[in-house]
Amino acid sequence: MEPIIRFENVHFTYPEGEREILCGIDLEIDEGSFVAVLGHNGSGKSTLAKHMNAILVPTEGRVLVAGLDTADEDKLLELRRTVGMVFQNPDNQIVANVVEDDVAFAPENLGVPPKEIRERVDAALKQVGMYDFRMHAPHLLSGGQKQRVAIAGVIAMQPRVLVLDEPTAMLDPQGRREVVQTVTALCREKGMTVVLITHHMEECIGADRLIVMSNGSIVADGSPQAVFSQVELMEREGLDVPETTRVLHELGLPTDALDPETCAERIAARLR
Amino acid sequence: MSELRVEALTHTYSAGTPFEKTAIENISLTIPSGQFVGLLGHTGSGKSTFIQHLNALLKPTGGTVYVDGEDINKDKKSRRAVKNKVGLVFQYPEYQLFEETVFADIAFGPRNMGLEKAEIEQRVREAAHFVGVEEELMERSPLELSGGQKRRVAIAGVIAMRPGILILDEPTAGLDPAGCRQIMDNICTYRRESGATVIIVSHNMDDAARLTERLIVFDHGHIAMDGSPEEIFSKPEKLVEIGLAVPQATRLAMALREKGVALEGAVFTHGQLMAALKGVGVC
Repeated sequence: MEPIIRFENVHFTYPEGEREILCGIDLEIDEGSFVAVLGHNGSGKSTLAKHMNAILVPTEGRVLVAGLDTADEDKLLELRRTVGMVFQNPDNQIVANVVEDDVAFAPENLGVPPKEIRERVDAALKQVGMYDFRMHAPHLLSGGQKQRVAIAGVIAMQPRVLVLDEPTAMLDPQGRREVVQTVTALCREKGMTVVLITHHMEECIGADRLIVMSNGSIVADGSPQAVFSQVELMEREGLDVPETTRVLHELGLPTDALDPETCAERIAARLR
Repeated sequence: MSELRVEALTHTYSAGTPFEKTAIENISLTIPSGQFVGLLGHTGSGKSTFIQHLNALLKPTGGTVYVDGEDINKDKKSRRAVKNKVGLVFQYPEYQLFEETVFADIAFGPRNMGLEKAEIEQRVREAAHFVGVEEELMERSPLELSGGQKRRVAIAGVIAMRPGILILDEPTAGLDPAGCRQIMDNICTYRRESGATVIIVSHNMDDAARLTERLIVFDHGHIAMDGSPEEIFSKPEKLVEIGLAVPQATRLAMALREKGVALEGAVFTHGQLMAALKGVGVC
């Protein structure tokens, strides 16, 4: 199967910038997968995300999304319908005074017929668990709720790929859980491809694949278990690893159990 | 350097209207001079309302707040004076930077205190040093800095007033792990060298457990738990019941105990977990 996103030797430098932000990225993302991208500030992970719907285009190399070259301006609208993007600050992404109007904003602009807009808006709000709040004022919602409304606004466009650039950075633990559960469900139930950029390692645990960026390059890529097992590499990158991995690593046990129950089972088995 | 005492503190927002809401109710506690305290609780548990009373930003609808024995709401003069004694750093303080240079921004507080130029200068340098803001950044615009640097400049602006009590609301929110560690180190350095009382509101259980001497857990406007990290995390079930996360090491220790591994003592850091595992002969 052709990957939905393909980076071919992508380099990126800001105009008049001295430092290269992306240094030759080769990457393929399968349709329907949940990919988490972890990295410290300045690692290039947000720049990577912004290449996925042509907010930025490569200075060298190319990015193909569903076969569309992101540098092809004639295909821009089609590309933006294919890849929806959610950003860090929920307050900057909400435009309307009523939740359902906000979600309807994109499909209205795409010229979707009114009846279908209604269906899409309702479906999107149900999908993120915010249907009961459809008549509420967005500014009175919690951060996690606002971010879920922002996600609903994007999925009402029915994109094939959802890219989220640190969507949980400004949320409390409850809000973070809500957002991560929502995007996980979109991937598992609707088959949407999800790319989650984050610096919270615990949000990567449920992903199919974890990519670690550093200084504009990919330094680790694999299942979350496999990537977190590289404890020294993660520490060198200034990133946390789950306590479960750390303990198993220090005990010299296989580091393939990320959840506390399985990890405790491994340790208890050693005692028996 | 300052002692804080709160007696029967209650705050009701919009009293007498249909939107009436009691955010905190009948809170009494004493925080001795120099203590390092973590405030935990859900969003909406009342902890932000609580800290806004500690430098007279909010006036109690019931009860009294004393700093060094004096009622901070006694009159206009005391309400003003307490602002120099109790420094409050809000969430996302970097959005409140407004001066043209980093230096001017850090100097804003001391200048308002009516200090002399030389004294202001000295305090600004000292505060910048505490939070690791380099000399060469001083004449730059704060808007050119990275997120982590901006946050440190904003904290320096409060530290430059040399508050006897420093309160920080979620000082590490939104930063990457390296940025978080740096801010927490800065705060610990300030506390060690100044002897100030420090109160941090945090969602990060691992930090709260590792760094503070005392944890106060808010739930629905009341104090649900109050004790040393050892005491609080020896009853992790109660935290879970309130719906709060426990440190990862505590979480793993709970799972191990359920599987019959009899770990000794309170476990809330990686070191303690490894020691407890050693104690039962795992390693």
